[in-house]
Amino acid sequence: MGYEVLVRPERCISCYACEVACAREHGGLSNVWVLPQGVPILCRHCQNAACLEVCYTGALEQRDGEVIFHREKCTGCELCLLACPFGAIGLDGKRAYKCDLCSHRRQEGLMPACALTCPAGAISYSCVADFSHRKRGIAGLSWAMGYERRGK
Amino acid sequence: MKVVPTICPYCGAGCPLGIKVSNGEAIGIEYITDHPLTKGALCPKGNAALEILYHPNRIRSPMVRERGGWREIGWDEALELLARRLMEVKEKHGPDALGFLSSAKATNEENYLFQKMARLLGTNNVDHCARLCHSPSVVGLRKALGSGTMTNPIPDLANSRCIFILGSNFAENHPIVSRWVLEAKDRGAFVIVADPRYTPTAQLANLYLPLRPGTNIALLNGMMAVILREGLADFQFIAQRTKGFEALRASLSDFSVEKASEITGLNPADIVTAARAYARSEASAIIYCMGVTQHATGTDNVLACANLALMCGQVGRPGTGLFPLRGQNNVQGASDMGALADLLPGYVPTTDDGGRRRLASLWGREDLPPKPGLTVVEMMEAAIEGKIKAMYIMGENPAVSDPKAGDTLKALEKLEFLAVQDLFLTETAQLAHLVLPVACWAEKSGSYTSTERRVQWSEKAVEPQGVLSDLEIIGLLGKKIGLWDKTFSPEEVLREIGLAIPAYRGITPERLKASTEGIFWPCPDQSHPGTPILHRDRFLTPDGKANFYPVSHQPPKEEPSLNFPLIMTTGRMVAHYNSGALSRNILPLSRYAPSLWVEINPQDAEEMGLVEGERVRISSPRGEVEAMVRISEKVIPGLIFLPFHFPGVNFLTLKELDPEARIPAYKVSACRVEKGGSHGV
Amino acid sequence: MRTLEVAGEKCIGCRACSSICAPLHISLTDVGNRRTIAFPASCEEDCDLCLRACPTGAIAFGAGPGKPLTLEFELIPCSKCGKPFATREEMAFVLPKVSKVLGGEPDWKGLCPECRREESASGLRVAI
Repeated sequence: MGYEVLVRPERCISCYACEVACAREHGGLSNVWVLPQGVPILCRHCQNAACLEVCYTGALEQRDGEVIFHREKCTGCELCLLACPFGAIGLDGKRAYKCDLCSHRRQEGLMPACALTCPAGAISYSCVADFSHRKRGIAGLSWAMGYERRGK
Repeated sequence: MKVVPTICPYCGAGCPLGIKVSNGEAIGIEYITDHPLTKGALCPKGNAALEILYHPNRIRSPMVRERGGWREIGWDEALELLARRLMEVKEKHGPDALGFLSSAKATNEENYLFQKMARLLGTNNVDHCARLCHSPSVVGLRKALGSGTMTNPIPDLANSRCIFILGSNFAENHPIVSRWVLEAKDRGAFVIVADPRYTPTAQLANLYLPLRPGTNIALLNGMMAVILREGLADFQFIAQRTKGFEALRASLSDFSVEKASEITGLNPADIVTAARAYARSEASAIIYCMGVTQHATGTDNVLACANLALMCGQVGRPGTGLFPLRGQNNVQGASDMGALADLLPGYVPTTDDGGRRRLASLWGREDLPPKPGLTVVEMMEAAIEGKIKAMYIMGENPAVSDPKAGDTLKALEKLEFLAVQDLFLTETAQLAHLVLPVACWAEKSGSYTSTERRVQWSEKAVEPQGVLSDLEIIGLLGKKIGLWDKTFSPEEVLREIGLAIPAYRGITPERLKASTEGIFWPCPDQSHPGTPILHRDRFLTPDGKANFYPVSHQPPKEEPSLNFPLIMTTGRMVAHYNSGALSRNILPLSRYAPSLWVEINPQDAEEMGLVEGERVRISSPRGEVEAMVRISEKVIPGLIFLPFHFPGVNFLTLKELDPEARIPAYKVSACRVEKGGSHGV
Repeated sequence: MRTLEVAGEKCIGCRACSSICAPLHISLTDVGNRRTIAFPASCEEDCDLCLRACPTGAIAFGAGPGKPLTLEFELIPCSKCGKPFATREEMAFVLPKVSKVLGGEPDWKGLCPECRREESASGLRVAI
């Protein structure tokens, strides 16, 4: 089972650590956006990727559960921005940009920066199965303790 | 390429920060994943830290201020001038005409040597900004528990079953703490946050208590009244390990949850819920910060926290304890090192003849000055009165951080001689006669003590360019003055610290360098593993027992009035750091808030006809400042919030001091908001 | 002389040709709810990037006298924040393809990318 960047928005403290780290790792431009309500938004590497469908140059490619972006093939047409349901692709003047799961870091055996740096553990780089298992456990415990949910 | 382990230069959490170095140049940062506190995490400030290193605004040469502006001078000339001017003032007006501000950003070794220099020159006028953040913890927790520090490590919060957070917005200011609070919550802990402002920390709460500013004691006493009424106190603990409980019980006999509710504005049922949750859980922790300390009743507030913890026996075990979160990377260490006007290294009062003479003999003297020196704010007052003639400020920015900062500017301008040692030409440095540029954290090695009492070694990653480290400067200066005949390496100074401070005796440079997670003091000898959890079997008081000190609510020093109808409170935001010297010119951070803003409740905004983004003038009886309006329900009606990272905010704050800890009452001031700044809308 | 022959009816008003053209011969400007793309009459660069970049094959090269061409498009406003964000033609090009992948017309189709970010964040927060 592959690893993915997974988000637990209830943990996000809107500290922007992921944005600052991502920008540093990607030449000053962050591929993740922290929204004021406390949710980091980044490319979800969809299985049915709408962006892929509109890209006509092969700049977007699906491989090993990832949506990979090849900047050198991008024309900057902005069609993928208009196709992405989550607004997770940006336009840097003349070319698109999006999360590459820190491919340069993974080549060195390192985790994506956002998952590693998140002080609150809101972003993790893990298997979906482990992640859901843990989340269900926590939800069950919280229910058993009789705590209200406070999702604001 | 290699990764050099350093300690993050921002807050007091002490997160490790790896610097990637290639050909002598820092090329990036790397996360250190095997550290028990962070597991690799870093907040936005840590992520941006490298920007400091090669910042174009860094000062690279000593400079003197002349009529035409700044003139660069050589290091020898600069040190000669500094030594001469300090000695001139000492000869003419006596040593107490000198004032020294040490730095919570400098290493333990630098702080130790700096205060040693001041004291060898014959004055205790040496203080630092711990005075402005946690001096009530030092005073209050020392009285109650025998040590003014955090009792348990941050990761130990995961073992808590109830976490009570009072006046701390750690989600923004010590983000790594969130990880462990959330971990506890995942394991079923109940989280209570009391804060007048609905902060990102409050969002983590199971129970949020929006108390009125300056009413901490009423809330704590109300909770204690509930606990006593319902028989939830830990009487066995009280009997075996504490003193003074009867006086506390008597003081609470006429207090009730209803009275607490009246003063705090909280729902009585919520106070009861909080009290029961805290008292009943098998391990409860209290996290507090400047919402507790920065009041004229700061020490009392801290004592009330200690009373609650002691009453319920929630100290000295995993998952329990008191967590005063410290704001600067080495504010704990600077305090330990005795960079405080009334305390020598190891918290020995200057008035303790035995302790003082022991230190004097270590330093080759017969005795040291016994009279406590002037504290941060008092030094500025003395400067205005002409009693202090010269100041030497190492890495602090009082022109922005002092309360009623208008007075501080006057004081600094009046000095015959002011020397400032800093990375940047800060607001304070601009007033100096002599500016000395220093190495930043990555350009020097030394030890830092985190808020957890975790002593860690930070290695030099790159060679400094044109600048010297604080330790080198103090060493050279002391040599010129004739206090010692050589300069010192950090290792040498740390060994002397081990001789001066019993709690550091077992902490050697070799041990620190070999350790990935540091050593918790007290560490009495070299085979001792360190002490992560304090007060397990006995408290650090002379008789080993903790003390209750009854305290009662006192109204804040300033209440809203006809002219100044709003209450102003101040605090921090995640993307900025303290006086702003290390964030306002760091682009990856400052872009989140390039200029000062003020948070106003929608109801107040509507009454005043204010819209989002509008510029307003905020004034208090002491001064005024301009800010941009942010309309938000995070603050209750009648309350405004300003982040204190920008110059001017402290023109408005109160200088009233806590009688014991001498901390200014920053957190509550009366003010008014008027439309239209001088730059128009 | 190499002229630029643009089939106006094929152009959807995207940014491809203007983004890819390094010497900036083709310009794109958004003012209010109008997008203007201006093509020169001819281009002597040894380059055919615009031709290859066009998603609809609207650009061709020819010989002989040409004339500069300016195309105007209306930008549709975001249904939430009101900011004009895409040409009608771009959305008409994108939506059928997106609908095919997602199995139906998405409910966010009228939102600009920033508001989609905002909406998906709110959606996640509600789900907690």
